[in-house]
This record gives sequence, structure tokens and C-alpha cells, in this order.
Amino acid sequence: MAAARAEQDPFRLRELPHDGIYFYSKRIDNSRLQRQADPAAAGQCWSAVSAAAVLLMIGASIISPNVASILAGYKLEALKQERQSLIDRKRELDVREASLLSPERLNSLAKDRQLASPASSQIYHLDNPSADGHFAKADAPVLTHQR
Amino acid sequence: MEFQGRAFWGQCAAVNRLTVLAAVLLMCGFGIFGRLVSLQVMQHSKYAAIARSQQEHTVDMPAPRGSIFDRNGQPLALSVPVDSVSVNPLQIADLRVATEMLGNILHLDQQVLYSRLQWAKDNHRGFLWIKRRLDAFETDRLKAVHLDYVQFHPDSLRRYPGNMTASHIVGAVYKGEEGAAGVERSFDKALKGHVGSERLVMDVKRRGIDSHIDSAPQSGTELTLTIDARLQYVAETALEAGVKAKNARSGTAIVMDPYTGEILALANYPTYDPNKPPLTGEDPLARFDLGVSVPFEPGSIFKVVTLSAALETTNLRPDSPIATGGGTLSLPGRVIHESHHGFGTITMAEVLAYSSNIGAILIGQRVGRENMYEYARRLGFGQKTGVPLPAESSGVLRPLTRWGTTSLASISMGQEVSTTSVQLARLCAVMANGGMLVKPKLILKRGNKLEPTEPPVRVLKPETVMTMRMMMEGVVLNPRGTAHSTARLDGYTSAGKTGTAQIFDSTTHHYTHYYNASFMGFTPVTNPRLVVLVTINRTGGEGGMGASAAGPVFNKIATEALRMLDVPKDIPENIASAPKTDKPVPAEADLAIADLGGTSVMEEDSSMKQLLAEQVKPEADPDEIPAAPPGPVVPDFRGKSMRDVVEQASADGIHVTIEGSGVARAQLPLPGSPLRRGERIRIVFAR
Repeated sequence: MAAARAEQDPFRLRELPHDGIYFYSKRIDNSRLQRQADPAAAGQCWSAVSAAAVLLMIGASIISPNVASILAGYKLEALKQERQSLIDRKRELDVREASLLSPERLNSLAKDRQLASPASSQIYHLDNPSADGHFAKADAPVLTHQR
Repeated sequence: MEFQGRAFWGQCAAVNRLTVLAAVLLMCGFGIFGRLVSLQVMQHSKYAAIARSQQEHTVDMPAPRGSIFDRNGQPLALSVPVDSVSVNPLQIADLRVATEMLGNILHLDQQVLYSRLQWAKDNHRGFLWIKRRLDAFETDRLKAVHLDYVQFHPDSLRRYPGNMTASHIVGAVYKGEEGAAGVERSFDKALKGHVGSERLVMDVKRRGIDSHIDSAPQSGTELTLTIDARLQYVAETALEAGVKAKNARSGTAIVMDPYTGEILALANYPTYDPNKPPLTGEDPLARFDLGVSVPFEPGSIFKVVTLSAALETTNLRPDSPIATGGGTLSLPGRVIHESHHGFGTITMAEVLAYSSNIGAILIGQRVGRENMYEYARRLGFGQKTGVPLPAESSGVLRPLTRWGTTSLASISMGQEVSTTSVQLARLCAVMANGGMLVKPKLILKRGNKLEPTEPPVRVLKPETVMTMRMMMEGVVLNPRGTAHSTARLDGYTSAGKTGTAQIFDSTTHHYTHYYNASFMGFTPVTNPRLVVLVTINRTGGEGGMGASAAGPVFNKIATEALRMLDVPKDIPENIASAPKTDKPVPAEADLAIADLGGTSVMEEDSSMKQLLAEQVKPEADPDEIPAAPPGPVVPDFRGKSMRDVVEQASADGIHVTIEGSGVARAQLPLPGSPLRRGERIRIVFAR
């Protein structure tokens, strides 16, 4: 079949089925051709590149706020959760601090360290300087040996 | 020619094919467009809802219950976030393994847990609470095992860091965070927060992208009380020591600012830890706010009202002689005996200092029924003080129409009238602040807003109050004053009045030899900074009088309070530190004679009957047990099973009413009470 086609016409290509249209190939030697400078084409090329860049920038400027918004949303929600967990943690620590500062515990600590409330005669008020010029803060605990 | 024809028809066929292709593509385009219109326009709301349900989740925004602070900012009650845990029983592959794991981590009874899980699975339940309000350790352990069928739910737990400190004032919560007692209950509405709601947009990995608040959470209002936690602790420890020292049953101590009515401390004993739920068999008195809810006959303290009325309505003055005779007083149909001995003719000031009952009765008769009633009402008795705590009692002051022939005499010395400790503290404040009746104040701030103080009302003339102050100072300073040995303060002047009232037994309808011992006082006398009221309930013997039982507690509390508040001393140290005698002088003079006839006013308050019975209930010391009433007594059913109770009741011919199931936990009337004919005994069973 191929041999028959080659015999028929060496430049004829295989016909398209049922169309009756025949294409021929022809070898052209264009090795001696030289590209002619075309300043207008370069301009068109740069125009196309610029247009594409502008379109890209427009697209990016349209899309980027949304992307930034989503990323910020992620960050915001993560920070919100962290804030809530810190608030929760603070409340736990408040309870702990209050327990540590409770009068009951302070009293037991004071007893362990042999601290006692001062007797009335041991208290000197700042408004009434004592004879020897010494002062003592009224609510400051004093170190005494408990009997 | 033939070639040209074939080419033409070939071109036509190619054009047709392209046309068909274009038409098909166009139709596809139309189809897609139509589908888009259908999805995005016509069924927009439906698919938007589906998308929302997949991407958005509505979550509750926590609104913690408001915290409660003391006046110095020390937290008394706080809510902390915790987790509650539930499971989906339908997702559990092996119930045994799940039970063992959950039981070990959450410290649950595995048998009970397994049966609950099994029941839920059998009944196709997809949700089952396992444990509410886990502690942090349990939560961490359970989260670490990553069980698919376990779900955590944010919850809140009320914590009281001071434990028992101010428990009766702060109160407690139940069922999560519903106010059950104290300020927690009175201000439940303000303390409660309103949970908010938020729509959270999430990605496929359940990470939050965006959130929209539907309703903002509103945290509960923070309350700052007038209580000083340090002073409260001092009052509680001093009161506990005082009650235990006298083998008494209960007690109350109140410290109040006389000018504003701010309650700086309100201590009751016995007390409880609000962090722990009520336990079966615990002392029911522990959760009573005795100082506010439980009235008692005040005894000699009430002589302050009698003498104040006398100063305003008669010509009696502190040095007016009162002939108390040799210790007896004849009234219509009755002779009254002074409880200790006769004082002869003494001044009105000495009537108060020695707490002469006959003297008070004679002065009361000069005042008259109408004036006595008027002044008792004016000084706030028989009506609630308005202290913002639940279940406040108004006490009992009978209307004049119900007064008997000896009512005036009884009321003159503090019988036939019942008061709460808060009412007595307010009476003392009137004497301390120059005659103004203040409203007890417990809330200092709501949030950051100062709570307004209600303006006090003048109820006594200033000159009357100055005279009363001088006479009340005599109770402490006069060497024969009832509180001379116990209520004097080192470095400070003080004034007050003792009171000792016999406790009425509602079962025998007689007064017992147990006392409510009280002392109310203020210090310093010239510029009072504090009012302190102490009541010790169910004391006995000579050491159970107001001065010897309540006086030392007053002394301890007032001394510490003055030091804490940095109040300058107003007398030299060496005067106050004169040697004190331990022996109460005169001890029994303070005791109000009870059996003046008629029944106690306490009988009128049905809710008090059981408490009275509790108060007169004998304790371990058999020497203090009063003689048992004759006749049959109510047996003790407590701790017995229902079968045993029914058998014993039928054997003894006793009618019983049974409530609940399990073991008998409580009964009314109490064991040992006289059993009346046909009386039914109510027995409450519980497991």
C-alpha cells in the first residue's frame, strides 16, 4: 500500500479517510533565510507581557486580600483560643493564690514559725511616738515565743 | 471534476462535524450554566445551609459566675473552668475495656459504670454523661488516651479558697452553680452570667477560620463584701474556742461598723466547708446562719432597751434610786425572786451594771406597756433588719393586744421577746453611733460601683444615748459590773451589756438550765469604731453566763480588730492592765428569771421548735443531763433498718410515719422527748 502510494506521488501524504482531500509535503530549504528585524513585533511582545503582568497583578490584588483574610482568620482564631486558655489558667491561679493567702493558711504558717499577734502593750502607733522614740507598725507581726 | 466534487462534499462533511461539535459544546455550556443557575440561584438557600452546617459550628461562649471578694480584695468565691465528660456508648467496641479505662482514670465504681454503659448501648443511646466537673489531673489523663467515643464539655466549678472562712455569709452553690445559701443565693441573679453564642467557621481539619458572635456573653457581676477576711477568721477562731471552752452547742459573733452598719465579720459555729456538698449525717446546725436566721430570747441585753425607753419617757436618770428590795418583787398574782441576791436600793446606772432583774422590771413598769412596745419596735425588734442574707428571721415581739399580765415584766428583762444576733448588733450600734438605727450592710461594691449606704434613722435622742453609753461603760469599768473581769480591753475603753437567758424546752414547756450567753459591746467609748456581739448557745453552770462565756470572746475579737484597724489607744495601758479576776462578779445576777409564767415566745415560732430541741438535747456529759420527764419517751430509731423500726414501733405500740428508704437517718420528735398519747413519730430514711 505504501509502495503504491510512493509510486503514485512521493510528496503525497496519506489521504484523510472518506474526505477525498489530499495533502502534499514539500521540502523547502530555508537555511539561507535570515530573520528580518521587526521593531513593532518586539513592542507587541512587551505589550503582551505587560498586559499579562497587569492582569496578574489585578488578579493578585483581588485574590490576595481574601487569602490574607483567611490566613489572618486562622491566626485570629488561634490567638482567641490561646487568650481563652490563658484566662482559664489565670482563674485557676487566682484560686491557688487565694488559697495560699487565706488567713487560715497564713495563721498555720505563722504558728510554725512561732509568730504571734503582738500584745496590746507591744503596739506603738505612729501618731503617738513612744518615750524611747521607737515605732512599730500596728499590723506587722512580731516574732515572739509562744507560751 | 470528480476530484473537485469529492473535495467539496468532504469540506461540507467537515463543516457539519464541527458545527455539531460546536452545538454539543454549546449545549453542554448551557447545561452547565443552567445547573449553576439551579444550584446557585434557585437552590441557593438549601445548599448554603448545608455548607454552613459543614463549615460552621455554634459554640457557647463561657460567662463565668461573678466572683465574691472581701473588702480588701481577697477572693472568697471564684468560678474556674473545668471539663465534664460524656461518651457515645454506640461507638464503644468493648464495654469491659472502656469501663476499666474510664473507671480507673475517673475514679468511678466500675460495676455501676458498666451497667450504665450497657443500659445505654442496649437502648441505643448515643450520649451518656460519665462524670461532671473533672479535676485537672483527671482531664489531663483522659485527654492523653485519645478515646474516640469520649467527648469533653466545658463546664464551671465554684471554688471557695478560704474553705470555711465566711462560709455562712458567702454561702454555697448546688446543681452546678445555682445559689444555695448566703450571698450566693441572695444575689444569685446578679452573680449569674449569661452564656453567649458564637458561630465558628472551620476548615476540613477543624481549625477555626472565622467567628461571628451571635450573642455576646455577659459575665456575672463581681461582688465585694464588707467582710474583712482576716477579721472574719479571727472572729471564727475566737468563737470556736469560746464555744468549745464552755462545752456549748453553737455560737455567733458579729463585728459591725456602728456608723454605716457594715458587717466586718459574721461568724457562726459550727460551720461548714462550702467546697464540699452536704453529707448525710452531718450536723444540721452547721449550715444554719444562726446570727441571721435563728432568734433567741436575749435576756439581760434587752435591759438596754428598757433603760433607753425610761430615759426618754420618764424622769428617771442614771443616779435615780431604784429600790430593788431584798431580792423579791411582788407582782399581781406572783412573787419574783432576784436570781442571785438583793441589791437593796441602787441607782439606775447600777441596775444596768449589776444587771438587776427586779430593777429592770421596776423601771419597765415606770415606762409602761405602750412605751416599751413602741421603743422595742423603734429599735428594730420584731422586724427584719434587711441584711441581704436569705431566711432572715424577724424575731418575735408580740403585739400589745397579746401581752399578758406579766409580759411587761418579762420583756423588761429580755424574756417573752426573741431577737436575732444581727438585731442585737444593730441595737448596740444605735448606742455607739449616737442614736441612729442603721441598716446592716453586707455588699460594699457591685462590680466597680459602690453600693449606696441607706441613711440611718434617728430613734433615740443624742443625750439619751450619751447617758446610755456612760451606763454601759459602767458594766465594764465598774468593779461590780457584770463584765468587769472579762470584757475590759488593754489600752481601750469599752462599753457593753451582758445577757444570759435560759433556753426554753418546747417539749417540756419549761425553761432549762442551759443558757444563751451573750455580750454586746462597742469600743472605744468616746469615738466608737466597732460593735461586737457574741452569743454562745447552750452553756451551763456559773461559767456559762454572758460575761464569763461571751465576754472573753468579745475581748479577743475586739483586741484583734482594733489592732488590725489601727485604732489609736484611748486610755493608758497600765489602767486597763489592772489585775483581772477570773471569777464572774456577780455571775447569776445576769441571769434573766425565766419562769415568770406563761409560755415562751419561742414556742410561737414553729420552725424554732426543732432547733430548741436540738439546743436542749443532752450531750455526752451525764452530769449536765436534766432530769428526764416522767412517762414514756420517744425511742431512738436512728441507724435502724425499716424492718427493725416497724417491728419496734409495733411492739411498743407507737405510730410512725415513714419517709424514704434505706436506714433511718432522722426522726421527729427527737429521741428522749416525752411521748404523748397518739403522737406519730416521723422517721426519714435515706441510703
